[in-house]
Amino acid sequence: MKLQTAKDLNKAKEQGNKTLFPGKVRINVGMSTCCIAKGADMVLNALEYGLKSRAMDAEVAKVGCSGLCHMEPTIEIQQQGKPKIIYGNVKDQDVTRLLDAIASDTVVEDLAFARIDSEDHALVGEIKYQYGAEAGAYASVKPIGDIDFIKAQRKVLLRNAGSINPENIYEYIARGGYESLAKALAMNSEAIIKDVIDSGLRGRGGGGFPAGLKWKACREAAGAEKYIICNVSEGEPGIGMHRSFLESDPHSVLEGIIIGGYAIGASTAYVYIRDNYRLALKRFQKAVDDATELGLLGDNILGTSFGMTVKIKEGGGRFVCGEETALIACIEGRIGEPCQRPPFPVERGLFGKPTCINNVETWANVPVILAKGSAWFNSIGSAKSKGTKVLSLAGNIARAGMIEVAMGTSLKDVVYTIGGGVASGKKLKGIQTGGPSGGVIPANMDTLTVDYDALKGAGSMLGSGGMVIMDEDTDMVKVARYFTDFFVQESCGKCVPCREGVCRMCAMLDVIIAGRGTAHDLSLLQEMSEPIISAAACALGKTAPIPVLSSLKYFRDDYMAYIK
Amino acid sequence: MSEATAITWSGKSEAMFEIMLGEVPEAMRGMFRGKLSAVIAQKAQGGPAAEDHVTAVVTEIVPEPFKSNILKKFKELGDFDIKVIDTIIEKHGTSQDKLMYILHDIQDEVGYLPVEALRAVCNKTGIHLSTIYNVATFYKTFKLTRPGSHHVKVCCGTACHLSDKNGLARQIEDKVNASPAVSMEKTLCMGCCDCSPAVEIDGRIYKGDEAKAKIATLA
Ligand SMILES: Cc1cc2nc3c(=O)[nH]c(=O)nc-3n(C[C@H](O)[C@H](O)[C@H](O)COP(=O)(O)O)c2cc1C
Ligand code: FES
Repeated sequence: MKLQTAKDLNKAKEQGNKTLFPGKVRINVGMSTCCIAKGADMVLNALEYGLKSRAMDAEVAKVGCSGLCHMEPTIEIQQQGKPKIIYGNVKDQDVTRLLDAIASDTVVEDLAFARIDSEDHALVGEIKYQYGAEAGAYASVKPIGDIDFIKAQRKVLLRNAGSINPENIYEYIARGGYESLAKALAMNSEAIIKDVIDSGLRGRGGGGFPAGLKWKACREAAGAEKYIICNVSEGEPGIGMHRSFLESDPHSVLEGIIIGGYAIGASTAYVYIRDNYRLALKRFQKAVDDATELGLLGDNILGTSFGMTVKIKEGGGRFVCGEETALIACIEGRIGEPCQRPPFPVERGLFGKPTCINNVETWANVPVILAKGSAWFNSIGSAKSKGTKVLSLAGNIARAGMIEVAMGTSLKDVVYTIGGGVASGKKLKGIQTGGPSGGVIPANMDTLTVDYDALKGAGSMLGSGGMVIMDEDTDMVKVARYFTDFFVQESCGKCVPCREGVCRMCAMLDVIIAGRGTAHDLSLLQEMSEPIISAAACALGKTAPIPVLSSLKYFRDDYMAYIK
Repeated sequence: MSEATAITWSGKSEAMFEIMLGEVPEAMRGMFRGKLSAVIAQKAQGGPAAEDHVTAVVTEIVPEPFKSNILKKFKELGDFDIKVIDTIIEKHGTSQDKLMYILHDIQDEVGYLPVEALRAVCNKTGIHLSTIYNVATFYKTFKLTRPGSHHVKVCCGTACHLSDKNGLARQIEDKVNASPAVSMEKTLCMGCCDCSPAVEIDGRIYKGDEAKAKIATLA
């Protein structure tokens, strides 16, 4: 079936609703990489076997990660007209009890985490699970709105994660998907770009460059052939949300890319997915194939004259390939060495053509902006950082996983209200943000907010949104040594300040850790950082000294403990 | 190259032929390719060139010490069929931007990138062997040696590094070194930090102690 006009989307929507509300019980089983690691595939097997042996009729959907990574495997059970119940920490031996509960229309109290009567979906508004005569069912289970972990979050990008089947394009369409594309195709490109500029959307890959301005520059660059690249490199240690993103809701990214292609005037997009993300790659490929089949990709999208192809590029496991010029080199089949900028990729990028590179999350924001309007988007967030941000909480934290908050939420809320505080019960020492190129924010600065400029001002950066929580036992000198060593390993070796300088810094840290350091070494470390920052060829080298500088600034005592 | 393509190869003969050429200095390889393939074609008498034909050429023509080197390499030759490379290159094309796709596919098919496969890619795409080697060694995802029958990936990302307080990575390394059937690599963050310390064993991620238990059953 090819969708010829925007109206045809309604037919696809009906089809999606047939599986979302199947008229029988629907069971969502979280089947992302993180869920599978905790045994979700075993639960799924047990479930399918149980259903078969009891001859029960149910719609079983393999969904993505809902962000409840701390209680996976999770299962959602949705009986017709009844609230949806989320179960956490489900083991395969629990399946019998769950099936009994479905048959007798009750809940398994000890596994139930929350009850969803209705949800406020970012695009389609209220979705009612409980309706009709059944009001008041399962009152013993806590409503999801009363749970702090959920309450403090704001799900815009993760609106579908964990509730739709990522391999079913119809379910995505039923949740308002591809409507933004239809809307965009009826607009002219200037208007779309203006919307994106007005929304205040900034690049989510780390730099925070206004996405609309980049689009505009690329649109205005000379040349008929242009490219779009979606960066899913995610080499930064301590994060995993972009993998989750593609595994849970690949179409939201794809839709953003197609809209971008139309606005910028590019007919080919490359999606660079790092190696090791096999499931994400597979699901995204499926999304591309399905969209092509429905006429949402390929020639004459939705019956218009606009056509686009999306190609997937599997990466090679190097951190530096996240840098845009290195990424372009990688797509061109060369080794991922960054090149000097300018010229920026928007002027001369992939195959020498103007190229617009944005992060996955940036692309995923685009359909939301078009659907809800730039003013709506602009109203969320802080003064200069707009919209929501997906964060990944990791390290020594009670509730690790993928969360989404409005920009401007304080780190305190993120760590304590959402994350549940330090897992070991010890005191918080610092929050590492922005991956290796970021810094550690000391615990007493937890009033800082999730905001590009606020974190930058504190000597760290928001980066892609990875946050690693460290407790009081963490030795910051060793942490700095770890990151510096990371840069030594990952430096492409092209420029001297990065290749040699960072190596020397690492050696000095070794000397300090071995107890042979002096106070002079500390000032030497500081001194060495300057030429590296000013002379390294790319941002990898320029940011390599930051872990050392920021720990020297905030955790000098840790260094002094090594120096007699 | 044109003379070489006149031959049809069977079994591992082409891979063996490439190994043989690998011993020849690069500058002279083109000339030898033509000459040796003509000899093999003659031996094959119009039929497909078999493994025996290549071995015969080596034993008869090649001088020592190259002869024993090559014969030794023949023994180590993996059991992969060099034809898969033809299919893969046909699927992707021969321009340089397809190189990584080709290498990824070969690795998926064979399990690693044998040198003779790299040489065959060079022949068939016209991309310099040095460029191919550059790419294959720069990207950590490509393996140039055969991995064990079980492959373990230990995450060295921030979250895993910090949460590995008991030296799990060390213990796994020792264990793996002691058992030839298991190979190991260290990776960047696997994107599964909530399972930290995360270890991937044969494509599945395990958390800390579970991983240790699993590895104990492999070795
Ligand atoms: C060393 C290095 C690593 C990077 N890694 C990533 C990455 O993993 N993902 C990403 O989206 N951007 C990464 N970037 C930023 C990209 O170069 C680029 O700015 C970004 O993809 C642009 O997208 P945005 O404007 O949407 O943020 C990295 C930059 C550097 C210097
Ligand atoms: S740091 Fe190991 S999975 Fe992320």
